[in-house]
Amino acid sequence: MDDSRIIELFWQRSEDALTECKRKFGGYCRIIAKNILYNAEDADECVNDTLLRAWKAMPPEKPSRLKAFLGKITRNLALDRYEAAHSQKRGGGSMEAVLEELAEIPAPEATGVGELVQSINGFLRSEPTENADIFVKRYWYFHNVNEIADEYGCKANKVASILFRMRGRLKQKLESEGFM
Amino acid sequence: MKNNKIARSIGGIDNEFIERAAPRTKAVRKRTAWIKWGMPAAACAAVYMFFMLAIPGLLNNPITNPNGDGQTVTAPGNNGHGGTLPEPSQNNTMYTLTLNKADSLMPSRILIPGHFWYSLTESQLEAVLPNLSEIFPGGVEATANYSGDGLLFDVVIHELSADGNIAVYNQFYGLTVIRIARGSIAEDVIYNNPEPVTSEVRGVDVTAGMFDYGQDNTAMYHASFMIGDIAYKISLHDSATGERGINRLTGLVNAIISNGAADLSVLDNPVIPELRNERLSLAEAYSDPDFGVYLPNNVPSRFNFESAQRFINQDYNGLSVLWTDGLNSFDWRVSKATSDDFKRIVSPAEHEKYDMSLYSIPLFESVPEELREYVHGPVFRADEITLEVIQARVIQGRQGRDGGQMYFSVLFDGIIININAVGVSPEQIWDMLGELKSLI
Repeated sequence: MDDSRIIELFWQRSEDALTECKRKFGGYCRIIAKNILYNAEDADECVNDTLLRAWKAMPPEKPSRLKAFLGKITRNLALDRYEAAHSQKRGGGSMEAVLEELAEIPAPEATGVGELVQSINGFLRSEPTENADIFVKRYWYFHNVNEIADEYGCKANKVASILFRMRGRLKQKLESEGFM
Repeated sequence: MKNNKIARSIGGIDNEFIERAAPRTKAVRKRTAWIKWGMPAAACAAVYMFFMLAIPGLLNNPITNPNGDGQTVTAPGNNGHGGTLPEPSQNNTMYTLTLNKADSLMPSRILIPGHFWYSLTESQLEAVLPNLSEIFPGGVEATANYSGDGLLFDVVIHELSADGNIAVYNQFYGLTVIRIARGSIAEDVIYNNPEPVTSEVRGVDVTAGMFDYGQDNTAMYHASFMIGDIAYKISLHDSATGERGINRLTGLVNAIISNGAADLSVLDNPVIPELRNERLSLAEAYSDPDFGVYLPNNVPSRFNFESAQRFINQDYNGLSVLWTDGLNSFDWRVSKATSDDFKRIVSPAEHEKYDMSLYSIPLFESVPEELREYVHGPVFRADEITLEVIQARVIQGRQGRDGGQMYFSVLFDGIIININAVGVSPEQIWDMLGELKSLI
């Protein structure tokens, strides 16, 4: 079913919207959640929570890209769950590895998330498409390095090297823009 | 959570980046096998058809059969490879093919979810390609590929040479490959003409073409067609000059179409072997009843668990775990040893088979051919491996934080551990193995 038709169902408060959403995007959201939470049951709950959030958001929201809209909800919900589990010394997966990598880029306390997002968008636009995609796969979707390497037909070390250099360039950009 | 702000900020990036990098979902991702290191090629679920070469477009005009009247030609005799082409049909007609110039080949990287495969029996081959022994006197090797739910994906047939191996042209290119499938087969040739000219062979539309590699005087001759709902793709390699390639292709296409559509029902309902491909947490990996006990317990503290995978198919049964620390990593793969592993067992006294200090980069130039399979993948018995052996495996010039790169295997009574490490010291690897040696 077309995305615009699904959004229309949300606006009509038809529960078919949830069925169609789950059918079309359930797998996609589940991958995002499982990459962060590493637990099938938690990931499934996350997907269900995503649909509930989407139901509450539309209307008034009318996202231009439904897939990314739902993906962002799932990612944030999964990160929230991860934080809660982590604080209670539970959880697993490769999240620690990803966060260790991002720790190389210290975030300024006095800067809002919105400003940082603008800068990161600019950074991704300045990078070759393949590099930007690898960055997003790692730090948005939390794919492990092996999965990314397999997708591109290269060794894990090459992916790690690309990510390492990109983190360096992002850090330089944020410094030059006065974020640090 | 550490560095919450950056991770959260990345979450708000523009939708175009998110959708462009989106993962594939469901059938394509589920149970696909991507064991990329230390695995026999046949065990991988991704099946590569052709390598991609980009050659600038040549003339726009299609190449016609050089015998020229475009209607009929008499069947040529010996095809130059020890076999003969089939006799013409009752009306003495061998339908000709119009060849389209191909600009490039596309890599047909096919992901078959839960891939398994079987070789065809003689009776199955006869049903799929009748009378083929007349065309391939050396015989063929035919494999039926299935997805994990038992559905036939395709049949791939390779011509064999007199010694029983897959026949090759110019030492490298597959001589003749035929693929057959229900419905359709992914296109892997890009023709210069966006609407390639088709030829009619006994009422069947055939798209035929030629791709000149521009080296070794080698070309790929290619034909695709449908007989009913059965799709066929033929590719064969031959000289880029002369008529032999087009004549072979013409004969093969005519023969296959003459014999009618393949009966693929003989390949339905296969026995599905044990298959498994799942990601595990670190705890689950350590708890694996078959291989968990072979994982190291004293991993250096700066390394973080990255991923673990449990995989079983017809060729491989193993558990792999990856730890990383920035650019440094070590990959620990435990599996049941195969006959190939036993062939590469090396004694510590046989330095020439494993000591990397004896060889310079690039290894394919410095390592003698007869030693290559050992140097590239030595297997040491667990009760014989020493710290000095591990130190000798460090590849010079590839420096991580603590040391270079090293890869080797350790055999524990039917279980093999493949270790691939960057930036881990030999002493650290020795410590991790030392604990496991009590398992001997």
